[in-house]
Amino acid sequence: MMYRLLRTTHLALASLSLPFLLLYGLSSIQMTHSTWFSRAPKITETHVSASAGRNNARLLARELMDREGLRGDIQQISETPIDYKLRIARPGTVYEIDYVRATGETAIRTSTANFMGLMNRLHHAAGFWHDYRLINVWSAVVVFVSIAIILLGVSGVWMWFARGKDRVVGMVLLALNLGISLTLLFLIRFPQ
Amino acid sequence: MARNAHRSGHGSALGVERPLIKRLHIFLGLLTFTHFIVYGIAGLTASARPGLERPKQARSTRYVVFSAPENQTDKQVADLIYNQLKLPFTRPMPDWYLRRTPENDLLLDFWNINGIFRVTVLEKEQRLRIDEIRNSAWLFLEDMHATTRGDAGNLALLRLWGYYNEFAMWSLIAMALSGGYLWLSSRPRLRWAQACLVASSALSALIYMLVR
Repeated sequence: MMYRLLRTTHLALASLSLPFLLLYGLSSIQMTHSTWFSRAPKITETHVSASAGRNNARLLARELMDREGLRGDIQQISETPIDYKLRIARPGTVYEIDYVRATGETAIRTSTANFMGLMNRLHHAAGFWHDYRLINVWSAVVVFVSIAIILLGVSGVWMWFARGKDRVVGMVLLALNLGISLTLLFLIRFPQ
Repeated sequence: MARNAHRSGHGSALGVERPLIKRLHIFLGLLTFTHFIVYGIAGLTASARPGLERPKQARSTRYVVFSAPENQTDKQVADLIYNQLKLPFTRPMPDWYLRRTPENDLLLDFWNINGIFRVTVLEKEQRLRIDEIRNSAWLFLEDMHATTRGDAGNLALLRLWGYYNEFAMWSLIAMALSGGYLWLSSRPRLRWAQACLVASSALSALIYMLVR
């Protein structure tokens, strides 16, 4: 009865998180072996006219979002007496904006990541503090997958033990994992 | 009988290697159990953070006598301090990262897996001020989840963790695929499991399209 419940829970969690676990797995390999994959983004540049004389970078960003359809978080605002530079970014797409205050002339340099580049950015995206709401939705997925991977690990170990097969080999492997990992974590966290 | 054979996987088209793959799935899981827990904690920590900025309050401050040699550049002084203090899990300071305080003292942030050692070279006082900014255990685990052998440089313990971490990454993919196989080779017609997989696949595709 208990085993069946564990197995059902394990399968439910796994099937609900499988695409996301693959995303995290593949993107982590991409980060570790960056030369195996091309992540060169596609770059385009456009010039538009925004309202001249803006003294508020966020209002400028809002104007560009509404008129030009840019989407993302507003980042890295820098200001000089002549211009504003800022970024609007979402996973996989970054708009670098250069706005000339006197004329309203605005250059928008758009970098669009390819598939692996987007996987990489999604791997890094988390937190519920973003202006761009879709990332907050994504963060809810991150929370679910994080809880799922912990529960998958615990239920998996539990099932292995309850199954009664391969106990000796399993004990050795689990002991190896706990021994090496926890020792490394301890030595790194508390260096002498 | 036929149903039992199918459920156990023996004799079915998909089930010939099932016992072997099941063992592989279980053994990989046992060998990477701690890492998966670390990954889960890292995801929860990243989600709970209120922003990208991390707390930078010093946990402790100490002073060390130090005289900066005459006629040496900031980079040379930084290297000297790095070699002299031997702060754990730090690396030599790149010259583009040298900064100065508002009082014009040389400021060296030695980043490490546990936080930052902020060293201020108080030349007039002939000493160093060393502030230890220590990350919480949660942030530590978040950083550990992202540590690979490439990031570890020549820091042996981190490199060792990096190797193990990479093994866990490959294992994660192998377990996801073998888990799918184990399901399909035993209970492929389970409606609710199919629905769960369709739902998660549709959600991931939807997010991909919307973010794109």
